[in-house]
Amino acid sequence: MEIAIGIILGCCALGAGICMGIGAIGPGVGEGHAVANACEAIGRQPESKSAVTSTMVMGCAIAETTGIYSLVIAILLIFVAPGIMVNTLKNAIGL
Amino acid sequence: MSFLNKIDPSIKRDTRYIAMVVVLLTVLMEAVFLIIGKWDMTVLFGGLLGAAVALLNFFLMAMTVQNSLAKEEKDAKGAMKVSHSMRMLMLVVVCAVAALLPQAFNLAAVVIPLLFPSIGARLHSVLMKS
Repeated sequence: MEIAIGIILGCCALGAGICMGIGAIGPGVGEGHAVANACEAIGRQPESKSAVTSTMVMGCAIAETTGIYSLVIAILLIFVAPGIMVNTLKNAIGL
Repeated sequence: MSFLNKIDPSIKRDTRYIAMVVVLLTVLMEAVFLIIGKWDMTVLFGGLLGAAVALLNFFLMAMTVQNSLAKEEKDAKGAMKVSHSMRMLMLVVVCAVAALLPQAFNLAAVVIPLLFPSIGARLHSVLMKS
């Protein structure tokens, strides 16, 4: 029983780590590229700075959504899933 | 006052817009919790914490964008990556606090408002097109 609970907790922690690690790469790299290109655009047309900033901020907010999704899944895997799985296991073996 | 003067007017405008959307959607979320009969003070506190953190996250991101646009391309890219990591860490800490204090915060009520700024941003792009 203890081994099964340990495996469940370990897998949940591993899943949360992988989820957060991979999920956060995309938005981080994407935002970095977007801002770098925005710098280039402002360098070419300095008068468009306000419009570019506004578009960038809204674009970054949208790009960050996937990172927040992965955060939510990681939080569920750490704090919610282990309890449910352990209870299911206990019910299955009749404890 | 000097800090407020340094903020780009477009960022002030966007933050005001996102704050409005976050407040509206948080009130809607509280109403949904009330309708389904799951509302209590933990949902209220969780909603307030989630909305405040979502708005802070957006504002910090906007400030990083403003500062990055004054830098070289490579530095801007690095600054955004560091800012993203730090903001994610802040969100993880807030969610962990909410999960570890269930008697004070409802976890769902904290997590759901974190998605409201992106809904506001999508709504903004739709409104701009139309």
